[in-house]
Amino acid sequence: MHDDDRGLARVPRVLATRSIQVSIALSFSIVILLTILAMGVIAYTLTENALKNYARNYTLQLIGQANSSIRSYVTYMENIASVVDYNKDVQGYFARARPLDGAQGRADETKIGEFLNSIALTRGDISLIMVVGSDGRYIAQDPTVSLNPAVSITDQKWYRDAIEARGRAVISSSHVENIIRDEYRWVISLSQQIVDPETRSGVAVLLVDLNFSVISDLCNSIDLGRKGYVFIVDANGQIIYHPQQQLIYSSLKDERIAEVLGSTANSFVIRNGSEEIVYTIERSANTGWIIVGVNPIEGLISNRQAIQLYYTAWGIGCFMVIILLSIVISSRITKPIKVLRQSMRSVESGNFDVSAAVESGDEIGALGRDYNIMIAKIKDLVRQTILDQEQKRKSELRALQNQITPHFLYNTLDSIIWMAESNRQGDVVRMVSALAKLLRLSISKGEELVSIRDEVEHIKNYLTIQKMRYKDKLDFMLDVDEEILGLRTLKVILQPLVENAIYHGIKNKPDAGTIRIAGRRANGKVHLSIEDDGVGMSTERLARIFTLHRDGSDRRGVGVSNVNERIKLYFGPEYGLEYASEEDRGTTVSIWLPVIGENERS
Amino acid sequence: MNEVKPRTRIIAIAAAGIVALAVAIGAVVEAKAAGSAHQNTIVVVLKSTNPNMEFWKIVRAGIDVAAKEWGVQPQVVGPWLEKDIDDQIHIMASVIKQRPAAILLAASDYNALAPLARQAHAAGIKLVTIDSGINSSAPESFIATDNVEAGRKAGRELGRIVPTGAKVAVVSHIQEVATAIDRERGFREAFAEANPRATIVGRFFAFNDYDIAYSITRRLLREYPDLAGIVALNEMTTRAASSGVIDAGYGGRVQIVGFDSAVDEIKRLEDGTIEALVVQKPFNMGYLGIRTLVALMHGKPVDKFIDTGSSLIRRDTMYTTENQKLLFPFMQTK
Repeated sequence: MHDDDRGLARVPRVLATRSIQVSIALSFSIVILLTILAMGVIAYTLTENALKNYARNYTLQLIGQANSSIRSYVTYMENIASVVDYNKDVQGYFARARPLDGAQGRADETKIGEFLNSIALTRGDISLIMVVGSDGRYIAQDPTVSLNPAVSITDQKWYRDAIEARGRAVISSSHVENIIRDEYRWVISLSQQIVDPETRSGVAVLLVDLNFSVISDLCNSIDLGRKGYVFIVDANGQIIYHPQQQLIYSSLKDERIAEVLGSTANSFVIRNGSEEIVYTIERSANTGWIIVGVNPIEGLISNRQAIQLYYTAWGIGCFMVIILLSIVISSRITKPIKVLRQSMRSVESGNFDVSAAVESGDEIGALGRDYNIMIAKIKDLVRQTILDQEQKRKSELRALQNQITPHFLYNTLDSIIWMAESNRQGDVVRMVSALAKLLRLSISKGEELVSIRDEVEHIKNYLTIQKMRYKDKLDFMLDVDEEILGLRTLKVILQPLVENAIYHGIKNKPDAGTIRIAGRRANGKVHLSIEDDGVGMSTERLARIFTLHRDGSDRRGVGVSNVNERIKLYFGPEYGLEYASEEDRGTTVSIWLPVIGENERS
Repeated sequence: MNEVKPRTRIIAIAAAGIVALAVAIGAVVEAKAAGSAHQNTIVVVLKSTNPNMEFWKIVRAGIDVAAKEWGVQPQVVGPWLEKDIDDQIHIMASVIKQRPAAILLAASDYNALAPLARQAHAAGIKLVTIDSGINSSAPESFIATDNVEAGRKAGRELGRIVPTGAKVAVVSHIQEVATAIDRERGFREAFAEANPRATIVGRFFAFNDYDIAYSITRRLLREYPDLAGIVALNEMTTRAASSGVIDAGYGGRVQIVGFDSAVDEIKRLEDGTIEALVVQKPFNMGYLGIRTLVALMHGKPVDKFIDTGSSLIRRDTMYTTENQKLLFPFMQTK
């Protein structure tokens, strides 16, 4: 299980240890390389296929054109044949037995000869038009020709085929025509029996020879690339034309004639070692011949190697450009990040007087600007914190200074002396005991936060001392919920306020006054209140209660504003003091504190 | 400024790399194209470039087919007539000076061209001879008719068609020439086997002269009235022998077996004066000559001797598909 994890996690870990620049450049390059490879292969294959198809169609077109040329030659021969066949003179001459009158016969022969000659003259590629009677008489388009004495016409294949076909035209394979003396021409022969329309018996055979060179030249002129060529076979697989005919007969070459004859499609591919050869086939309807275009695929795509080379070169070129681009782009991304990081290092070591110089307008630039703003904020906050801390320390010191002034201690001790002189021993004990407790609570642990119980105990001792000093002039009541006694408060917040209430509220009142201290939870906060029924304050004075001491006009605001500041510094601006006062009716101070230490109680 | 420098350097290096690559590829393509033009030159030195010399015309047809098949452009040179031996020597010498990759030679003299063959070999030119050999081991291959085998074909045929124990004569074109010697040897061998009791009355040299061959034939017919057959060992002697037989009025009584396929011979074969012809395959010589040179230029091993084959053609087999292509290789023959 562990081993598996390691194997899976390895690749990302390798990337993770690299810098972003390397990762970006690396992954860009890999992705692009694969893309280029895939695109290259696809593009090359598509190009090759397109070229193949184009070449194949082109070949088919050329072969088709050759086929239609051959068809037109054959059609021409057939037309000649039917013109001669329907000629009354020809029919009449050969239907008659040997003419009685030699002169009439010669005139007929001359007439027919001229007729044949007029046909032959229209086409230079017709080498011979001849009618041979079954009795051996013959008339050719040229009256001067004589027959090859070594050859028997009736043994010729075209003659026998025509007799067998009974009036249908027969097209021969390519052959050497040897019936004329001293002439050996490669021709294609059309032969057809001429039938006497009356007796319905064959009277002669017509022979039309087409110079085979027109067809071999036609095949030769078809350019199927360097190694491509055209050949023709008849329906039996006999070669009619093949540029390498002699090689085939000498077994130096073999031609796929069996495959051509067996193929039903118009094209097929033969694999010869590493070479692929495309055979394109056209069938000639009126001769039964098969015209075949042969071209090796190498020839079809004459510049295959060049195409491969160019694709490879382009691929490599693109890849190099991409590597370059990915290096540039990744460095443009990571450079501002590096600048940011350097700036952060400097911040880490406590220097906030930096700003990252990131000028780009993209996301990284925005990040840099936000970072700079953040650093400025942090710098502000740090300064504020330092300031607050200083303030706290100062106000605490002041609070402690305010707690038990030498003046208060002197007055208290004076009262004790006076009580002792009057032998009021019980009062002395009570006062000393209260003073002792007061001092103990004051010097206690030195912690900032104390329990409300201690704070209340402290103020109780203080008030006890003051009450004994002012006798009937001062009374006090404590009404603090048991529930909140265990909660915590800042220490020495009640005493400055109570002191204030005594010296400015009750002391100036002609009759006795009462201070009432209450405490409870309200609105999710702790609410302590100090209520006196002293002289109260004017609204004008009330409004300036927290700032009175600053202009030096009144000393009594010092304690009040100090308490208020301390609470706010410690607990936040939503806590602090609230004054309510009415002249001649008294003043109420509300202290709002957070609920702290609730869990500690249990 | 300091930060820009490395990047521009990378770009410069990469750009230089791309340019270098492009140049290299271009150079390879150029070199390939140039190399194929220069290194693959083949020169063919024939015995005759006269277009009326049908044998050499057919050789050239074979050369053309092979050249197209292997994508080479051979240059064909040679004297006007076969007997211009000195011309051929001069042509061959200047061809060697051009330093082609390969030479195909049909030597008009067995000894006279041998030093040039050695010179070509020393110059690193691949040399192959066709049709007629030379007195040198320099050629990598010799491509010709196996004349002993061709002679056997003639001997077998004549032995078959003359009566048992008949008398026959050999009319040879020249003394001490490889074709004549080989054909005669093959003939005697096969004839003796086919007709063991027959006698060969003699072998007569025509010294490459039609008239001599003709008078030899006339004299033979006079001296041996019961002569049943004549074998003539080349085209010229075959024509002379058949004319001699006709003129003596012996047509059809004396069987002639000859060599090659001139139009006159074909007519005599058709009219029955000549009984059979042994026909060579010059097309194959041209074709195989180029094929062998291409193989040599690709560093492939080749056979020291390559037989181009021969065919025996009788009157009744003249117009088979194969034989009419051999006898009438071109489209228009008068």
